[in-house]
Amino acid sequence: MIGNYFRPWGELNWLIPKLPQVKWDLIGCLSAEDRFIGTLSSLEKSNQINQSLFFKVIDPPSKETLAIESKLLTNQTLLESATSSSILIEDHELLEPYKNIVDSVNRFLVKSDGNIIVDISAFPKRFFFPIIKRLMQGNLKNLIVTYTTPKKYCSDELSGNPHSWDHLPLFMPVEVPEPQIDVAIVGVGFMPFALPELLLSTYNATPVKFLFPFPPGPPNYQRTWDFMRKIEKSFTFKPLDNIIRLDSNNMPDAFEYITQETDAGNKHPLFAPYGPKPISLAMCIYATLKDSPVYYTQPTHYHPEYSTGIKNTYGYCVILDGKNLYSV
Amino acid sequence: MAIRINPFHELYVGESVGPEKFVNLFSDVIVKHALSLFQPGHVVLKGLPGSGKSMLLNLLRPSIRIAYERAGQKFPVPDDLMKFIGAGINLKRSGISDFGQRPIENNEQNELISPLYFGDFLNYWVVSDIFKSINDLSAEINGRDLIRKIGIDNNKDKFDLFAKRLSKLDCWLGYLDNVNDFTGLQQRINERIKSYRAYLNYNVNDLSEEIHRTKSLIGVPISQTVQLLKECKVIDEDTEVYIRIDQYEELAWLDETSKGLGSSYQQIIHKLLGMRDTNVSYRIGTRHFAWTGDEKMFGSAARLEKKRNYTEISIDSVLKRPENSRTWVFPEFAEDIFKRRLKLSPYKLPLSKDSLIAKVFGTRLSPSEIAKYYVPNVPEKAIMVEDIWPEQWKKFLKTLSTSSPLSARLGEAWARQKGKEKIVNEKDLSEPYPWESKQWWKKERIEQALMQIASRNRQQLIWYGKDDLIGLSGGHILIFLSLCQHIWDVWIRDKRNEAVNTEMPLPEIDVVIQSAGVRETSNDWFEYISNEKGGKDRKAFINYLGTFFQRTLSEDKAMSYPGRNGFSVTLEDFQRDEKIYGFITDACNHGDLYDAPHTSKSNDKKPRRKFYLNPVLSPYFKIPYAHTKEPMYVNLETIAFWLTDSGVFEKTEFPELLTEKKGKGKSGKNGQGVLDF
Repeated sequence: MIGNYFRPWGELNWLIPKLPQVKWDLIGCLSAEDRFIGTLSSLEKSNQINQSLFFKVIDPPSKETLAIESKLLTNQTLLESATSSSILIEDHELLEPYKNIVDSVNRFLVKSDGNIIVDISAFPKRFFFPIIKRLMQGNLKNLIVTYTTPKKYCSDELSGNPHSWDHLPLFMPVEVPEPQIDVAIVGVGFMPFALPELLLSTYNATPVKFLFPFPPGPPNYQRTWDFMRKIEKSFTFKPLDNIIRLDSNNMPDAFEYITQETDAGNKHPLFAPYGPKPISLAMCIYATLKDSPVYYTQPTHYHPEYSTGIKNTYGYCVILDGKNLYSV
Repeated sequence: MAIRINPFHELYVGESVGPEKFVNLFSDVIVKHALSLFQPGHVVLKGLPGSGKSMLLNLLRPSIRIAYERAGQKFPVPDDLMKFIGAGINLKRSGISDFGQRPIENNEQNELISPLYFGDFLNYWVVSDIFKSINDLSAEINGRDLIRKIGIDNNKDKFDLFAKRLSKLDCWLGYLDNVNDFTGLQQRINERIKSYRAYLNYNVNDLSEEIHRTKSLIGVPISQTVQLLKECKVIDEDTEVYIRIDQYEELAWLDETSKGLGSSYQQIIHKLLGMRDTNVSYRIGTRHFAWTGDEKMFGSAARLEKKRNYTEISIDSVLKRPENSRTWVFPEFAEDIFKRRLKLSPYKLPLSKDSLIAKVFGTRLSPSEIAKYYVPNVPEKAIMVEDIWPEQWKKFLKTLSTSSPLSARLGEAWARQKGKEKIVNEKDLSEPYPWESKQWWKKERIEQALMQIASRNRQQLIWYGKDDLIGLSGGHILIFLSLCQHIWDVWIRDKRNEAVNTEMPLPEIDVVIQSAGVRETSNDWFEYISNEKGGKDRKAFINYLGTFFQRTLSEDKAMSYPGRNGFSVTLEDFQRDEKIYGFITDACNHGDLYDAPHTSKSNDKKPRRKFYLNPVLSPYFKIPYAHTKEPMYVNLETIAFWLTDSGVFEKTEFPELLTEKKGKGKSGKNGQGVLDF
C-alpha cells in the first residue's frame, strides 16, 4: 500500500532481489512443523545468509513429547544440512522466564551487522512478540519479518492446555492509572480458549473489532466461524462491535486498519492476537510503538502435526536502510 | 416492535456487568453466609471459577457502593457492617506476576531478591488503590450521605496535611520526601509503579537506584497509611479498610516459569495475613487448589493457622447440597437471581409469589410419565425378557408395560436379582407388586430404570423442571444461568416463525425445548473442560469415566448397582500415589469432578472419599445426576487402570499398580462394585 510510507511486502523470492543486497542474519524457530525451514530455504538459494539463530522451543511434557522430540530431531538434521552458513540452535522452554528470550536476542544483536530477518512461522506468540519488540528497539539497518503458510493444518485441536488470559511478555500496560481502553482488537483464529473471559471482565463496555481472515478458504472458514460462534455464546455483541475482514497475509493492511481504528494513536487499544500470524505481527508492531497491552491465553500443548507442508513464504519489510516503515 | 430476548444472555455477574446493572442483578441471599467479608479480620474466600467469588468481592469496590447509592437501593450488607473502604489488587491484571522474569539487581540471587520487589510493588499498588477508593467515594456528587456513613472527611487541607505527614514516615525510606500535597503523593506513588512496569516490559534498561535503595517491607506502608488516615481524621477511627487480593491462584502457576518463585510470592501474601495488623484486613480470593491450609510465611518457618490468622469461606461448600436438603441455600439463591434477571427483561411477571423458575420450567414430571414418554408407541419395548422365563411371567410383564412401562422394567429387574428369581413362577401376582412396595429398593432404581428404557428405545433422556435444573446446577450459579440461557435460546429459535405477543407474557417452556437446551449446555460444559490449563487430559479422563458409567449402568439388567455414576476410594489408598492424587484433586478443583467425604458401608470402616461427575455433564453422557445409592467401591489400582486406559498416563508410570492381576480391578466388600473390563 502507498500512503505516508511505502511498506514493501510480498512473496519472499520476489521481494529479496529488490532489497539491499546484503547478507542476512536469520532468526527462526526449529519446530515440528515443515514450514519452519521455508525462509531459510528461500534465502539459501541466493546464498544470502550470514548466520542463523534457531530457537528450539520445548513444550511442557505431554503424551506427545516423544513424537515431537522425534520430529524435532529429524528437522534439526534437515536444518543443519540445509545451509553451509553458521547456525546456532538454542534450547528454550516454552514457559521459561522471558529474560532468556530477550538475552538470546541481545546476544544475537551484538554479533549482527544489523540486517536481520525473523521468520515467525513456527514461533509461539510468547516468543515472537518479545523478539520483534527487542529487534525494533535495536537500531537495525534492515529488519524483514517472514511468514510461511503451510499446505494444511491438522484437523484435530491444534493446541490445548491454555493458561488463563494474561499479557504477553513485554506487553503489559505501563501507564498508571491505566487509561481507559477505547477499543479491543481481536484476531480471529481457530480456538478462543478463555478470550470471552477477557472481553467480559474489565473490558465489557469496550467496543471489540474482530479481525476476520479473509478469504480463509475451506475448511478454515468453518473453524474461524466456529471461533466466533464460541465467543458469541457468552458474549453479547454491542452496537459498536464489528467483524472486519482482512487479507490474512496482508500485514501492512492490517497495520493500516489498526492505525485508522485507533485514530492514529489517539485511542487506546488492547490486542488479543488469536488469528493468522501476519495480522498478529501488525498488532505486535503497533503495540511496540505505542506501548499497548497485548493479551493472550498461551497454550502449553501443541499438536505434533500442527501443520504440514510448505505453501508460500511472504516477507514484510519493517525497517529498511535504518528507517522504520511503521510509525503511528 | 417487540422481540423475544434472552434474559440470560450475559452469564457473568462478576466484573462483566457495569455497577448500575450489578445493583439489579446481585442477589443478597448469599451475603449472610459470607458476613466475615464485612467484618474485621483476614478472610480467604475460596471457590470454583464462576462460583461467585468476584461477585461477592465486588461489594467491597467503591464503584459498586456508589452505584447502590445512586440507585437509591439499600447496600446489601447489614447496617452495622457498612462502615468500610475497599481497595485491592488483582494479581493478574496488575502485572505483578512478571516480577522475577526480568531479574532486578542480582541475577544469581533472583529467587531471593525478586520477592522483596514483589512486596514493594504490592505495597505501592495497594496504597495507590486506597487513595483511589477514597477519591472515588469523595468525588461522588450525590455521595455526601455515603461518605458520612463510611466516615470520610472530604477536606482538602486534611488530605494535604496527611500527605505531608505520610511522606515523612520511615517505612518509605525517603522515597516520598519531596511530596507536599495529596495530588503530589498520588503522582509519586504511581510513578514508582510505572517505573516497575516499564522495567519489566524492557522499555528501560534499569530501575532507578532510588528504587533499589527504598524497597519497603511488605504490608508496613499499607498499615501505616491507614493508621495515619485515621490519625489525621481523613477517615474515622472505626472505619474499616478491607484489601482485596484477587486471583491468588495465579501465583501458583508461576512455578512453571521459574521454580519456587510463585511459592515465594505466595509466602509474601501469607506474611500480610500473619502480621495480625488491626489497621487493615485482607480478603484473598482464590481457587481451592492454591490454598491448601499449610501456608508458610516468607522469611520464617511459621505457618498461617486457620481461625487464628484468618477465616475461610468456601462458596462451593455454602451452595452445595447438604445431607439435609432443607438447609440447602442454593435453590433460594437461584430463585432470587432468576427473578432479578426477569425483572430486567420485558417479560411480564405474575403478581403471585410462587416460584418463577417453576412457573417457566414446571416442577418435575413423574417417573411414570417420563417412562411413557420414552416408549410412546410400543410400551413393551421398555422390557427385555429371557427365553427361559415362564410364558405367564413374560405375558404379565408385557401386559404391565402397557399400563406402566416403568413398573414393568422394575419387575424385570426384580426377577433378575439374586434371591428374587422365584417371582417368575408366581401365578397370582397382585398389586402392590413387591418391587413397588419396597420403597427404597424402588427409589434407588428409578433413575437407572428410566435411563435404560430410554437407551433401549434410542431416546434422548428427558430433563425437565425446576428440580432437574437445580440438581444439574450442582450448587454452581454459573451453570444454572447457563442452563437458563441455553433453554431460552432454544425456545426463541423454536418460536422464530410465530408472532410475538406484545403483552410479553412469561413463557412456559415445554419438555422438548428444555431437554434440548439442557443437552446443549451439557455439551458446552464438556467442551469447556479443555479451555483451562491441564484440560486436555482431564477431558479425556472425564470422557472415559462418563462413557464407562453409562455403559455399566445400562448393561446392568438386574439393576444391582444403581450407584455406578460415581466411585469411592479409601483415603489411605487415594493418597498412596502422588500423580493420581494430584490428577483427581485437580479435576475436583476445576469442577469436573465433585467430591465429598463418604461414610463407608464396608466392614473396615476406613475413611473414604466419593467422586461424581459434575452434574451438568450427566446429560452429555446420558446418565442420571442423582446420587441415590452407594457409589462404586474401587481401589487405587482401578483408578490407575482408568487413567492409563483413557490415555492420560502411560502404563509405565504406574509399574507398582498395574501388574496384570491388579489392573483388573478388585471387588469391594459386600458385593459393592465388582469391576469387569
